[in-house]
Amino acid sequence: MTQNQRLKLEEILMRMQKPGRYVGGEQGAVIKDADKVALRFAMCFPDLYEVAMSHLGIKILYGLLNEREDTWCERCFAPGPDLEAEMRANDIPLYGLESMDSIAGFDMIGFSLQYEMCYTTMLNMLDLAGLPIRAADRKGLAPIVIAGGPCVCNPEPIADFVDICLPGEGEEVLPELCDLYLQCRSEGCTKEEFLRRAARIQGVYVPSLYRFEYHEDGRISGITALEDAPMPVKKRIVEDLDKVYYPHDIVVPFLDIVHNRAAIEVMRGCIRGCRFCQAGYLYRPNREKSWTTLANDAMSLCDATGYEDLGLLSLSTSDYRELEPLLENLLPWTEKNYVGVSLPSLRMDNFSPKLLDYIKRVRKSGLTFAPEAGTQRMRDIINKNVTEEEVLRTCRTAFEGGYTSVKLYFMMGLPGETMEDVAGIIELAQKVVDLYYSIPERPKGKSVSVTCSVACFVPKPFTPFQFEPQDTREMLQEKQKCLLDTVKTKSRKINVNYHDAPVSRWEAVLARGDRRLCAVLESVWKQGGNLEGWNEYFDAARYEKAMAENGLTADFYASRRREYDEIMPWDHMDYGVSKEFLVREHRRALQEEKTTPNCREHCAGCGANKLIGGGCR
Amino acid sequence: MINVRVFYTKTGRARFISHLDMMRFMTRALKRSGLPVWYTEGFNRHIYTTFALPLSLGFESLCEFMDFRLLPDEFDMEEVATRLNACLTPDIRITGAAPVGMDPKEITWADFRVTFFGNGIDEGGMEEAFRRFCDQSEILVEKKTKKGISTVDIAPLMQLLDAASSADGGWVKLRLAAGSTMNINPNLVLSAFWEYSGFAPAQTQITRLRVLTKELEDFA
Repeated sequence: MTQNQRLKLEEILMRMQKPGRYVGGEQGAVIKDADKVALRFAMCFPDLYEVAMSHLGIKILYGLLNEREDTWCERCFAPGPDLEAEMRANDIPLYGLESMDSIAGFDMIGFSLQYEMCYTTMLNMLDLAGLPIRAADRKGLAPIVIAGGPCVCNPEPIADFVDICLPGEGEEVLPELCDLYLQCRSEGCTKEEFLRRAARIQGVYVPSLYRFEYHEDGRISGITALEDAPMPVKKRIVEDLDKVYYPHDIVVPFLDIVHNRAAIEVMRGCIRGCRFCQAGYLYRPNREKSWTTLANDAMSLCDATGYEDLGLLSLSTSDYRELEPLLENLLPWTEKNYVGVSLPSLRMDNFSPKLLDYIKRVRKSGLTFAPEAGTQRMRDIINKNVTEEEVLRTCRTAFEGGYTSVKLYFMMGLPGETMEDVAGIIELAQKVVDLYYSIPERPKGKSVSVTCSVACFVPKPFTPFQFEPQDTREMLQEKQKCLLDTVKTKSRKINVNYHDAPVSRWEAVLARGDRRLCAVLESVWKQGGNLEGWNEYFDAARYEKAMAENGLTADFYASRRREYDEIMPWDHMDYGVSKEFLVREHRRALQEEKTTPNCREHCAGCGANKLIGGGCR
Repeated sequence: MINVRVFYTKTGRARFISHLDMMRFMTRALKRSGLPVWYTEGFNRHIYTTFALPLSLGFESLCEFMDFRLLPDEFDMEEVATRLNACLTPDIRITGAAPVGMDPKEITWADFRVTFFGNGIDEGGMEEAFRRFCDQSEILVEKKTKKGISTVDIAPLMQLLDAASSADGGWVKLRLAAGSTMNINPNLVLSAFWEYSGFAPAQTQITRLRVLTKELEDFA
């Protein structure tokens, strides 16, 4: 950025809502001499600062890349619409928060894609940086645009925009990619040559090296790898979490953000196999960190940051086998140092009074559980493996332990769901209310509150439900009405929050979309689509228009049953979990109505163990 | 236990950090420093800090203060400054530490430097206009108070210390009433000046230079 642009930016920032989002300078931000590094990397997160800075993955990769002496990794997030308008009006390009330099001049621009509705924000950020949004229009070696995160398990809707996708975990592959880039640059390689060589690294997908062909009805007829690119493209994982890099210092924001705390990652993957849950399959196989590593991570991170809160993160923290030794050893230290500990993601089938004691010891926070469905039949279909008895027993433990409110997460629009199942959500909540008043030891003189948060189910790639149609908007609206009608007949102690259906529908389209959606996304962005994860900035009409322009329909992607032998847009991606396994699980769910035990009880043969050379631990 | 006051500067990028965010930042810095700080008693124990004279968002300052308590009865004040500085960002620096001296109620004046940038400032013209503006016997401005908007004569509450201007900008140094009873924000003076002089408002950078008592001693 020039001196004049910088001065102008400062004047603009004085008028912005939260200028602290846009200036960097936080504790832990890494400042290097731009002239003394060989590679400059922009770690982008396509959302506002408060969301972006709450994400653990980019903190790990930021620290990891900055450990390299030859690399300077900076952060870059989406500006709010107020700042964006001023940046465009005053020709101020998107810049890295550390150097305030325009990221267009960087070597690599990496996006973390956590949610489909952030795709247009990525396009907008590329444009704000002054770069062409399409990969084919960016001719030189720099900058290389990279995408990672769960969304790249089906990279096709963004395939025309990014040069490289990194399916799987980034800790090993990203430094390898940086090394290759530096080597290619010194050899004077073209971008095409670099991409061809990059494609040979496991965990690298180069969309331009794959060609899709379609049947007349729009289904895919073939996927071809060009120029010796691998087929399928294997995701990359870290085998031993005790040996992998974990930051001992992170950027501590001045602003209050969504998750403002130090976090340790107790495990990756999940043993459960809930059939709707994409994360549960994408991050397989399950790997735990030892409690000693975790205790060290926690103490050094708290010491370095001064954070007063510590989160123990995983997909299901009560499944972590060393939770007891970890807490027994860590809690005396956190108590002495005035650090509060939060344990999100607890299950209802292994929630003990002892666990509750731990939670109460560290801070009396809210209790949230996820039965996910209201009836046993439905919970069996989704393989939640939690019984009503367990739900009620957990709530009893909580109430006897002095809690007066619980929050329950549900989904609706699940495969095979009937109106009875929807009403069952409220029936279950009512049973929890009734339970409270039946307990003599309940907190005296206090009433109970049960909050039900109900999301719309979105079928996602690499889950057994990837073959399933999503409920149409009409069906979902009818179910929402049923939900609200049922709650009216019940106790006023039940609060219901539900998510809006239109966003879920377009999320479903993008999640299982193919490469033809690139043109749709470009059109949505050109119509003003940006920050669409925020309800106030989302407009379904833009998508309707863009689909029509391209001769496509949302029903084809979202509301159509897919046959087992249909070629999915992500069939060239290998996440370890085999398609045969997903088919088997789908049959068990809906034809046999059978549950599948968790990985520790019985291996279901998903295939992910091949990534760690045989048996899961 | 000792009540400690540290003095610090807040410049560069840190001027975009709000007062509330600064308080949280300083608490974490104290925690990182490992200094034997006193925590409040009670259910939600936290490090006890107090800040006098909050600085407006966007201002730089060479004279910020924060008070906190150290558990020991004696502690090397230089070590407090050194250890805290090791935990701060380049734009927030401790300049000194001492056992708490004056009561913040003694704060009466604050000196500011206002730097003007860019076009619309003709050579010498604005400096002259500013001097004339300050020479008025009465300067009436609308000021927001707790009771609503009232008209205040700021002439006795301000004093021009120095001024200069050049082709691409200029600066003035002002002494303004400060403290809990009467506090004049430099922006209030500036908007009155733009109105008086007819100059188009220029981009400014405002820095608090000193905080003074009634006797014009530096607050310490």
